[in-house]
Amino acid sequence: MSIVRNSAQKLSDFVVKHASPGSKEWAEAMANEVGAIENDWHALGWAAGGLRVLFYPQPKPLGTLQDLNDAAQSYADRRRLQVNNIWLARNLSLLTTLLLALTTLPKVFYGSHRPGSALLAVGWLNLAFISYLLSREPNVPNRDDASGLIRFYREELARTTKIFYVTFWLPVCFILIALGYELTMTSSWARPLGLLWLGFLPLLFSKQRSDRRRLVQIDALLATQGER
Amino acid sequence: MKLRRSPQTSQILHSLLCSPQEWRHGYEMSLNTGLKSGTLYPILIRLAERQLLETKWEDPKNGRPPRHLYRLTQRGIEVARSSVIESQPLRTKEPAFGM
Repeated sequence: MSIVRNSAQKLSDFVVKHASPGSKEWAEAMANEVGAIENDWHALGWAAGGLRVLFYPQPKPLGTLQDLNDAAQSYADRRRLQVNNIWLARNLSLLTTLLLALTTLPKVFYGSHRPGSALLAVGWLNLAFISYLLSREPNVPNRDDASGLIRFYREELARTTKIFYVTFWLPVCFILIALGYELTMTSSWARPLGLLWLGFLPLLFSKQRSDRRRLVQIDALLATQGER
Repeated sequence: MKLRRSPQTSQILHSLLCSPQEWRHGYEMSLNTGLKSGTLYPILIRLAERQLLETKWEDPKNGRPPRHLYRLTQRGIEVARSSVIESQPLRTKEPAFGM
């Protein structure tokens, strides 16, 4: 085996080893093709293409209705656990964001950096509103209600992926807060602190993408079941 | 949620539609469409998620690892056919100005 072919095989094995559960089968599919490619350099190019799989972490895919039932049940259990948490733990993010919004509001009218303070206030108020929505007790269906659980799971996923849901706009709040901090910070060492808020954006977008793909899987599975 | 019909997705659908009952390998599809693995497989993943593509592993041969096989589902065939119809240019029944 040449060095190039060996590198291609090692690269494919690396991708398979580090692929997420939802992408592992596809990583293996790409890796197993390497042996069928005659040209060593083409094989290396093919293996390099597989690296893209590592940038799309996915949970285990939903192949059957039973998989969907299990995923909906597991999600509902997590949400039921949130309901049982004490009031302060459930509402901590709401209280914090509300406090920050209230302390920023006077600066909009009386402070020196009004545009920045205005952006901060709008960002904090929106974040407080979203925190309020997320802290409300969810109406989790009973464990025996399989179709209700699936509907609940689907609805919860839609909250971060559909444009007419307020929680979809969570990244905008972070951008407003980051911009607000940038405009209000006077010292040069404190300026980068505002940009730290933008560090949350990749995580939020990754969650949105993951939820969107899960929603697509659910809709496709339900459509197939409906046709049968 | 609608499938994003990029030119690459249409290429793959058309390629699979040529022989819809036949199982195809990934590298074979890459050679037919000219798409590299990093472009081809995300599209195949999206098609499979939407139940437009069915997949299976072939039996291992000569000690080699089994290869993944793909073909369109019935829904996938319908979507691929509508994709072909949409991409065909419009034809008028009569030539313009009698020419």
